[in-house]
Amino acid sequence: MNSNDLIALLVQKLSIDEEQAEGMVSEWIQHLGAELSTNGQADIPGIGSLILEGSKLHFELDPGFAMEVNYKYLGMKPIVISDDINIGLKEPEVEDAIDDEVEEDSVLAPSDTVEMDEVLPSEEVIADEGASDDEEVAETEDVSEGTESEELTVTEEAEEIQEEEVQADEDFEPEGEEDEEPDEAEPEQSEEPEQSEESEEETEELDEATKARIARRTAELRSTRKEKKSNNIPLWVGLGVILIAAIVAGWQFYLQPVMQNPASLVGSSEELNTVIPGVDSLQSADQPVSQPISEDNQQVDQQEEALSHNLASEVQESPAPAAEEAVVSSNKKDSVVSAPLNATSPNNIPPGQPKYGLTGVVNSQANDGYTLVLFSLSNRQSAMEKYQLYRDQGYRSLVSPVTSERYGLMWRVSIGQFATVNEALSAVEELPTELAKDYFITKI
Amino acid sequence: MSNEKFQDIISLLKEQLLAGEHVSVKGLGSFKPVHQTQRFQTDEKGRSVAHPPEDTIEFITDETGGDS
Repeated sequence: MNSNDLIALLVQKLSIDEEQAEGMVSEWIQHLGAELSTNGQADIPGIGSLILEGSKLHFELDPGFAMEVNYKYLGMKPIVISDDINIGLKEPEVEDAIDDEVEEDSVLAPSDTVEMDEVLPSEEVIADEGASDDEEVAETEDVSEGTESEELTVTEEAEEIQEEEVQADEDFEPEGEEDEEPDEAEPEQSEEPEQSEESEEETEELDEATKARIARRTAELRSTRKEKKSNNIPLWVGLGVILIAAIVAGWQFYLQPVMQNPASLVGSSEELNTVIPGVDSLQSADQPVSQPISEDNQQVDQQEEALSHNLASEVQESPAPAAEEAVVSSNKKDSVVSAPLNATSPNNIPPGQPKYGLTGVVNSQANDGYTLVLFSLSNRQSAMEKYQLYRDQGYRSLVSPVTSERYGLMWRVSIGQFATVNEALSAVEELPTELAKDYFITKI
Repeated sequence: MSNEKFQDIISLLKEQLLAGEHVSVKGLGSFKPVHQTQRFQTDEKGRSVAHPPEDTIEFITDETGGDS
């Protein structure tokens, strides 16, 4: 479309004459030029901005309009594929993490355990040796002091109460004890130097540096012990299991009404006819529709496979009544749902048909592979028409509901079931040009 | 000067672009819908990464003042 076509459309749309339309366009261009020269930037609301960078004009697409333009692939994220295709992005990271933990454990555990066993007894011996001298002296002093004071009290009371016990007082006379106790204490004190000499002889064998190193290492090992004790891996594993169970339960809760009433997946045409409602933020903020392959996703895929098997025959047998479509208003607010609706049970597949392929009948057992997505449509009726079109042409035609937080329920029409991405790419060469130029490969 | 005055032109331009039409405005430039096909890259870990296709709009400045 050139300027003349644009002017003609303006004439038609606004019911104005050609000169007026030309004037409008000319005035708009002048307005943009004036803004560029004044601000270095001219906005085209809802479309983008023209930005003057040096002598060149750069166009920056409005994020909302970018999403409108890119609605077919909205929410799709890069996926990691490997040679055997089914290994996801996060698996190696998890393995790495596990390997790291194992390495840490293997580094710490054997040597530290040995060192711990070797060091701790000596530490205890040192502590015991250090404590034995001081504690024995302190205990001796406490005992002698306590005995002295108790005996003095007993003696005074005895003198006041009975004279007969005075003799006993004399036997336990403090002075005598004071004289005796030092005698008793003296040998102990005299033994202490011997013990201290022995301990000094022992401690001489361990120089100060060794003791310091042992003490430091012991402290490290103790701190390591504490860290090991605070290892909450089982707790996290438990929480993870609970989380996965909750996700699975939620998933089944969502799919239960769908299984009972498959037509409820079909969105109301009136509700969903608007292609992109309320676009106002970046694509990156969207709920990802195609997520990296992980173990969880594989589990979900298995569930989807089982569910799609059940859904297939029901959907084909019961077209969606308008009354049942209302159910979708509650379903479409959920997060991501992807369940191919048109898979056929293995019993109905023609004999000799390979499990995977571009053409033939959709096989529910081949839903663990990849498919060529041709359309993502908000209108269920349009999606079903596309589905039927490709099915009539002999392709394995699939239609899957995908739900994003922002745009609600979308219908993804795809063809083919392939074991690997490479097989899907090879199949593209068999497609007509109009299909081969606009597709993407994703996991079913 | 308000952009509201040109809202009809902008709406028309937007409508055409969403319909996949290439719009050329004499004296300004061309707005062109562009489809980038799905592409595959190898990441730093040597894994193949499939990037989804993307539809976007490109702008080409009308340096000649012509009208295609």
